[in-house]
Amino acid sequence: MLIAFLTPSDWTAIGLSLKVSVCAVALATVPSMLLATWLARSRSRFTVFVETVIVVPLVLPPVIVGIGLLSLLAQFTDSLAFTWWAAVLASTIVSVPLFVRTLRAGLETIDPRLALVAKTLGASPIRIWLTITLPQCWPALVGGITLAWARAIGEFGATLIVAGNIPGKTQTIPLAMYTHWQVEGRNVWPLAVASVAIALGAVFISEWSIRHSHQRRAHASNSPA
Amino acid sequence: MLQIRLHKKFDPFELNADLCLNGKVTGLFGPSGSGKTTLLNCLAGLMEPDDGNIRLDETELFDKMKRINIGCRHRHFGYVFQDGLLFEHLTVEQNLTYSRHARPGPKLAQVVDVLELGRLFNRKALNLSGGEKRRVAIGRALLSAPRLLLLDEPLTGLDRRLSGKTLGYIRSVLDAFDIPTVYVSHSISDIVYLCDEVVVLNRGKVIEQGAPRELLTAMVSADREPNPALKNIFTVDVRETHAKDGTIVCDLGDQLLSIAGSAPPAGQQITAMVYARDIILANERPGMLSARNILKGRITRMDPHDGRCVVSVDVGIVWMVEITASAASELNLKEGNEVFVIVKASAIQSLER
Repeated sequence: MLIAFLTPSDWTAIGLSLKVSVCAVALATVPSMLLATWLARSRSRFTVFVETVIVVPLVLPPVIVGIGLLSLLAQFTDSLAFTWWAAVLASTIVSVPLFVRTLRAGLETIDPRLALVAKTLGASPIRIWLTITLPQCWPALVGGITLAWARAIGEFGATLIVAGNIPGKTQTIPLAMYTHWQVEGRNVWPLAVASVAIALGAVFISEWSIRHSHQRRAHASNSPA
Repeated sequence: MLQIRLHKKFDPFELNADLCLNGKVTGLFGPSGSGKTTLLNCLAGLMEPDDGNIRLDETELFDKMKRINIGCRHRHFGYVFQDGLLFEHLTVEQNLTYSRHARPGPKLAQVVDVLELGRLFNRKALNLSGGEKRRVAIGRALLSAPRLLLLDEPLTGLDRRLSGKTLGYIRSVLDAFDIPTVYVSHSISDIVYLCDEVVVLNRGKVIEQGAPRELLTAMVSADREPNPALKNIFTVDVRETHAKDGTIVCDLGDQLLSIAGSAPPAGQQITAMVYARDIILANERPGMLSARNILKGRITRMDPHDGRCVVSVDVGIVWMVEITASAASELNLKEGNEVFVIVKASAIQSLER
């Protein structure tokens, strides 16, 4: 029923939002993992400094992040601003803090001595990460991805500044809703409901994945000893 | 041969060790905070000494002057941590085969056989009992084809029954595989049972090195041992099982030893334990007595100190007997004397699995 109320331009906005948010999470994943691992393991006094810098995009008004990013981009290239890639960049920057903090909390629950055991058994750092760290921090990783994605798909302020509000090109769901409401005076509810549905679906998948991994563990601990 | 000369400082603690280990199984003994684990970590390459050198046979593992420091991955030392530290998201089999060292070493089938891991093979490591976890951890270290096995208090946190059982498994491993081993413990009895050499550490310094029995019994009587529950742990051959009165009769040299319990069929070996304070000495063979064991023995050593005396008696194997100094003087006990050793069958506990 909802589908009937969505206009072709709404569908374009939904498609674009999904594309931008998924790309933003993909772009945020590797640096977030590296940063979270370093923050969780390092005893360097710089961790406090880095932690503070990472949190900045979370506490600043997104508009400021957008203006900062736009000025920065202008130093290097003219071709990126006001493209959907600019929207991806803006979303990445605001979602990294959430990703890093969630993953770091998960990594800190893993006994660091497990990596030492693996090391004495001759495992390389990459093998240790893939076979020990990653499986053990899976729930935190899924949680981090979900939060980062949720932040990315809801991104408004920074995207508006860096990517503009170009229908069919950079107009994501929040921007389209803003335009419907403020400029065109149209009904925004179909798009709002669609966006809630997408968010619920994603959170459900992430919860299911985390619970599934917990259940596998619980199942293992309940089987006859 | 393991040569160690190292210095490691982290305030306010300081470790200084100058050692040459020749034993097949060396015990590192000392109270908590004496530097045992720090020494082990330096050996394994998990911690870098501030100064000194470490050499195993012809291989230089660490030398501060020559700037040699072979990484932990390439030292090929099997390290068993206190609580086993299994990879709990993996199965027992995946834990055992985690190492991919290409060096020749113990075979999976043999390790599984000695540690009796076959039944656990497909289980998740998460749902193993404490004792099973330690066995898998030992197996995992063995299967990394180690040049040296490092066991850091592998019985910590296990109850008396499980720790006895696990001790038996460790003994089987040391007998079955010819791998030099460093065994860290603060239990005199465990070290006397397992090791042929002991290094005593206190406050970061090596205070003594030598044969475990002589060194440690002297320490017990001097009351430097924090846990005075001195035990004799030993392995004997089972001769027959008397199901009716619930005893097992074992060969102890040319004498027989009765142990309470139902156990393996005749022909097998059994590991058992008796507290030194539960053994009675007599100059003459007593007449009617309810105690099942009256063994003939010879005193090999006397360690008197402050009202107590640890008497080492050879009854086929050497047992430590703890008596009061006044009893020792009334009986006029001396090294070389022949004595009768009396112990109830129920005072001897089988540590069998």
